[in-house]
Amino acid sequence: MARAGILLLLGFCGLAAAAQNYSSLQPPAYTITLSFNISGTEYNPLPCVDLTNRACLPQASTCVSVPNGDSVIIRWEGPAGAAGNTLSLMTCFSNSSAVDRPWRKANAVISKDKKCNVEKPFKQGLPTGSGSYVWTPGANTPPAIYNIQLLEVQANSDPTNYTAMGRSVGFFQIQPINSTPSWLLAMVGVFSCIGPLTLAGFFTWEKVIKKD
Amino acid sequence: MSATTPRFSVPVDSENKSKVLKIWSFQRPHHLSFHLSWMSFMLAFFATFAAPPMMPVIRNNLDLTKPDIGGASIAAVTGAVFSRILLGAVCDSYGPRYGHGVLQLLCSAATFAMASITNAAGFIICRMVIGFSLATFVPCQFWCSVMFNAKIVGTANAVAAGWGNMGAGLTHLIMPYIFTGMASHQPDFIAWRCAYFVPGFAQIIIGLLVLMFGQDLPDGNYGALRKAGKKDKAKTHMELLAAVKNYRTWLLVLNYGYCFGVELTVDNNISPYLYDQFGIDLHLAGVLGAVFGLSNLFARALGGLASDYASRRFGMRGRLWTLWIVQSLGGVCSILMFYTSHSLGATMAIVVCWSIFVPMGCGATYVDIAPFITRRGLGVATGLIGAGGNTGSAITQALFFTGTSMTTTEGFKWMGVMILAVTATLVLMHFPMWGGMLTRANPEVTEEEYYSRDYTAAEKEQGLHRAILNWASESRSNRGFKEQLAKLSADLTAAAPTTAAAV
Repeated sequence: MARAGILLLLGFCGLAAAAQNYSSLQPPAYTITLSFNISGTEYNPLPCVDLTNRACLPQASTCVSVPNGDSVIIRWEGPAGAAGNTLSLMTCFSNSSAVDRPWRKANAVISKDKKCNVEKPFKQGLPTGSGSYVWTPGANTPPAIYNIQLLEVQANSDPTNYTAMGRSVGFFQIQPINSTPSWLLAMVGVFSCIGPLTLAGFFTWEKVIKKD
Repeated sequence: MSATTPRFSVPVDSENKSKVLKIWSFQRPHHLSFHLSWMSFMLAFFATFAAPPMMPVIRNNLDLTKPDIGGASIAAVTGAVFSRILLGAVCDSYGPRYGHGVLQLLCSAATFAMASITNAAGFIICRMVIGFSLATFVPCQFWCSVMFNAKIVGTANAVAAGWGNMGAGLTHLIMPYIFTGMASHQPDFIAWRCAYFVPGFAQIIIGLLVLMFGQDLPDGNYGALRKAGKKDKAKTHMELLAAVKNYRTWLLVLNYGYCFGVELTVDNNISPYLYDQFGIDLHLAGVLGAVFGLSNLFARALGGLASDYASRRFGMRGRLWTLWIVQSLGGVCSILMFYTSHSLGATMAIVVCWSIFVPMGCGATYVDIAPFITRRGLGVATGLIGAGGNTGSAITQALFFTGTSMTTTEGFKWMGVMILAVTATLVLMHFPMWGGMLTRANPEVTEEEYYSRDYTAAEKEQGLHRAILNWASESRSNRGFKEQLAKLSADLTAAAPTTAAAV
């Protein structure tokens, strides 16, 4: 009976952990600042927070170019966590990059939040406390406006339990790779002509030359 | 007298149409044309629905919104509404070979061009032009109708259409693997573009094969037959009137919009839905999404068989009830998608059932009811009904899967409600000589009278209506067993006193 009760309690605890809300991590224990390595030069701009006019974004200092190998330098400060806890870093889409895109929808439940890519952090296993990380966006990074979120993951928790969080104040924009290189466009130009030319050729041969 | 070698290696009727369907045979011209036809239709589906299984990558690359994706899905099915109607005229004038060839070879340009687009507008335009190729349905059905005789043409058409529709399932299954293969050498945003070359090449190859190895009619190609004076150009305005003035045509347009239209809508949405709702990877979403389309391998023909089985006893009334039952069950499955959205296993169980009912409805409509609406305007009626399928998909996509106020699961629910509401209109379908779902036949109206109504008095005086009298006689099986037996008894009774008097 006692064993059943303990199992039931553990089950409820498990359920509660699986449905962990961001509200359980407020106020954020970590502060995050961003600077940018643009074409080999480090920039420390004022955080771009007002996206209503987007004036702060197109400037070189906050437009991270994937083809140029630009990177985002993420610095955080926070308390040292329990032994074994680690930090995960992830990108969060801005409201403008998430609007009309249900696959980027925000959710108060951390594990279901798609706006902050909780299931796909770009870096895991970082030590708690203060630190920094240089993130170079990969070739498959979608063009969008982002900020950075940090979550402290409790050691050996299953389902994953988070004990602290932080989110950068400012946003930055990713400029993606050129996905239509000239060789691809040349191939498109050549192959898209084959079908119509083949039809015209066959029609001419059958109706005009063979007179069928 | 020496025996003459038969021209064809299959038994044929007086019009040289094959009396059998051997799906393992590539016999020329009948069965080779059958296989070329369904393969062309299948590759049209393959190209048109190549985007949805790669949508999670495409939408990130092009920064698409849900309205953009919905708009592209609408465009993909809308183009074919007009091209289907046009293809009827192309088939009449140049033959079904050119019907397939024109569509595949011209639309392949848009398939390749998809690799070059950089924004939502380009994506929508390319999907629309590629979607024109869905009109290969018309030459596919046309070709089967001219190659196979009345007793087997329904089966040939159902199998060809079903195997063609399977292309949507195949593309969900295969495109993620093609993408992955390309992605091992290129970034994702270039890999999906390279993957699009595969359906483009497939369209060119099949277009060429159809033109080179197909044959329009059992006796030859259109051009050769016209030269020999054996083929006239068709007059279309009376055929158009016969189809358009018959309310049954429009009832089936509406209902086909909510069986085939639903199939197209689900083809556009199922893989991205599974990917987003359950957090599974692209390959698994593609494999599971493919289930819906692949069931066309047998399900569409199964609908035709079920309709034929019901018709043996209950005639056309049985066919209408069969359609009502399977289409309504399809609507129920759509509603259940909403209630199972928390569980992948439960969702897939519903998808499996759904994937059987929807194509069954398509088969029961197109093969077993549509051909009996009008004989004179058969081509136009079936063209309109087919176009209704695409129109239904465009409307459903716009209402339930494009706006952001409704989630995809809610969209499935309301689509199911709409399916049930539209299917209820089948009760209005009434054939005077066969009855309807809730109405009985009028024994004084014959099939000959019904089908002859499409001819004017002057045309009847000239005997132009005689062309359909054979068909009218063949269609008497739609009276059902009881009524046929009753008529036979009545005929025998009427003949008996004369016989006795003669003795």
